[in-house]
Amino acid sequence: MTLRLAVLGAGAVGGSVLDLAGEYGHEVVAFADSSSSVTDHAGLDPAVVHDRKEREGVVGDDAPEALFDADYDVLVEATPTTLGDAEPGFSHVERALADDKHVVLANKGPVAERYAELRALEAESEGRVQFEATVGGAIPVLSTISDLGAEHVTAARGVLNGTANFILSRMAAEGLDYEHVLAEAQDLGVAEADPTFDVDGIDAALKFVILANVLSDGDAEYRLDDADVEGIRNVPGTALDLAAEDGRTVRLIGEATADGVRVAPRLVPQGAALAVTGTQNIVQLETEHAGQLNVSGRGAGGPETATAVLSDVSRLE
Amino acid sequence: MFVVCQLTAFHLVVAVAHLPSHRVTCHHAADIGKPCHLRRLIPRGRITNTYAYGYVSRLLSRRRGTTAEPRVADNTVGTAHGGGTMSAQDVDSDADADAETDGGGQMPKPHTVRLELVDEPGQLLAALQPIAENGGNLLSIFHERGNLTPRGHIPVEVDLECPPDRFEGIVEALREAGVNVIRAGAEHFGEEVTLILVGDLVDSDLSDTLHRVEASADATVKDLSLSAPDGTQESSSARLRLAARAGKADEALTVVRDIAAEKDLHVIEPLTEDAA
Ligand SMILES: NC(=O)c1ccc[n+]([C@@H]2O[C@H](COP(=O)([O-])OP(=O)(O)OC[C@H]3O[C@@H](n4cnc5c(N)ncnc54)[C@H](OP(=O)(O)O)[C@@H]3O)[C@@H](O)[C@H]2O)c1
Repeated sequence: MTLRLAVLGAGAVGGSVLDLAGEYGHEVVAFADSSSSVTDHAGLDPAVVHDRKEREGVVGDDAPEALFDADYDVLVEATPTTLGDAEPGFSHVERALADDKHVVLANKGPVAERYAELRALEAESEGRVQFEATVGGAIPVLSTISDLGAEHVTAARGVLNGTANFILSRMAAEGLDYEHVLAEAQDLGVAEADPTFDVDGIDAALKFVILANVLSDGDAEYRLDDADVEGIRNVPGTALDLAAEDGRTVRLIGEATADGVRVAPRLVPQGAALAVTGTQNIVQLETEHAGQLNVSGRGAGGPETATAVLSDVSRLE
Repeated sequence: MFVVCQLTAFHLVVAVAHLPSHRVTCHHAADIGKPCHLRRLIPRGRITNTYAYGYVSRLLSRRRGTTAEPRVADNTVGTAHGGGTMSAQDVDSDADADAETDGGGQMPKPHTVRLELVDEPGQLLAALQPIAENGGNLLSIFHERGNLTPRGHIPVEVDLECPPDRFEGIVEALREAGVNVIRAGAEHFGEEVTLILVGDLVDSDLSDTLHRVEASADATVKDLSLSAPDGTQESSSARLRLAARAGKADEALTVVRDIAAEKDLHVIEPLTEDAA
């Protein structure tokens, strides 16, 4: 069944959803950025929309809110992740659910900061909320948990920030210091101009908070404030040298366990599954009856994340 | 008195000099990875046999991928046994072969063997050779000269590391070589935790940190490696291998965490082995 998408956010993720929706058998009927929106019930032509965004900085002539007036089935929320009240993302989701529409989130804010509220709104709506893309980009983490049954998964740990992992693995491999590798990562586009979210562990923590919410299955609610978070700025080259000398390395590891959420640089054996290199991500699920299960792959990127968004859309058919 | 190999980061050494522990390796960050700079310091009482010291150093430096011969300073202490009964080259080739096979198979585990040696030159070396030849890495040697067993022998405690399936072979080889093994078994401290401390280690009195860990955590600092940056702003790091009694590793980590928080140091904790 072809689902009609309203995509909010015209950045790396939203733009890729617009490009790839057709390949997944769906169509984008409305598209918005921070200042404009465009609606076409016959389906938007990605090339035309991208072209206008590039030339004029807008996607259409309407106000962004006009997107909600379109005749759509699924709202794709791909505006920037915000902390605390998770706005404006949360209100976008609220509005779509009030209209009995489905919601697919790439934005981590609402599921990391207001999970219980979001679930309550979903319960009142005909619409459902999916958010595979918020945890590990293209990696099917949440759908794996859903297949296993959250009650059979006792813990999740792993590496869910490609930028921090890139920096640590480059520092270890090349013997370079943090500032040097960070600058290199920024040149390569692996790190943002303001890398705070990534190197301070906040981005990874949000993902493990989301995992903790999913795993607790309504028994407890987690927010970023509940997580014990330490980033990688305090990991000097000397520590990586000493780790390497002992057959180990340091990775920014997140954990969602019965004890709560924790993100910190940790020592892991060099050959260990969790010692992924570069921007690779991995999640290790501890299961009740089936031992450990590892899923790894690309945790970020526009097309990668759009793939997860569109898989979620297909689950709503 | 210590065996010190041309330490440039001398202040760091002073900080750890009183460590009641087994083996201290000190690196100067600028030199890490370069040959010829494996710096080492052995606290008193640990190895009183200079030949054994050279031997152990060789094994350890092999193990750490350093090709350089450790340089022992003139103020070497201890009672040197007469006669170098064994050439270093022989030792090296054995150690090499073992180092290579260490990688595969089971993860090495710490073990302690208690030996009784006759007080004659060359005895200690003869006892160490079968260990190296059978895949054991020497961690420390406690050679109490002057403290004799009821039979008039010298008790020696050797901590070594080997894959569990090799340990029996080592004990057997020792016995075949005529060495009197009085006790052999897995490390009496059942659990090991390796962690890294980061920060201003010297100003925060590393020696005190280690003493307190040992005193309050019911743990032993088995091994300490320091890496101090030279003329950069980067923090110093120390890798600690703690041995705790079975089931007490978490407690030991908590103690380290608390002390570190108090001294404004960062702890890079290990992820539990089975999780990684
Ligand atoms: N990139 C990834 O790999 C990845 C992976 C997983 C999850 N995510 C999440 O997905 C979301 C989007 O990421 P991204 O990389 O695509 O971000 P991005 O490239 O920065 O794009 C954000 C888009 O949101 C638009 N926007 C901002 N405020 C808005 C508002 N109030 N109403 C409508 N649109 C608004 C921006 O409009 P303008 O163009 O007008 O500025 C921009 O087009 C974020 O929440 C991110 O955390 C991203």
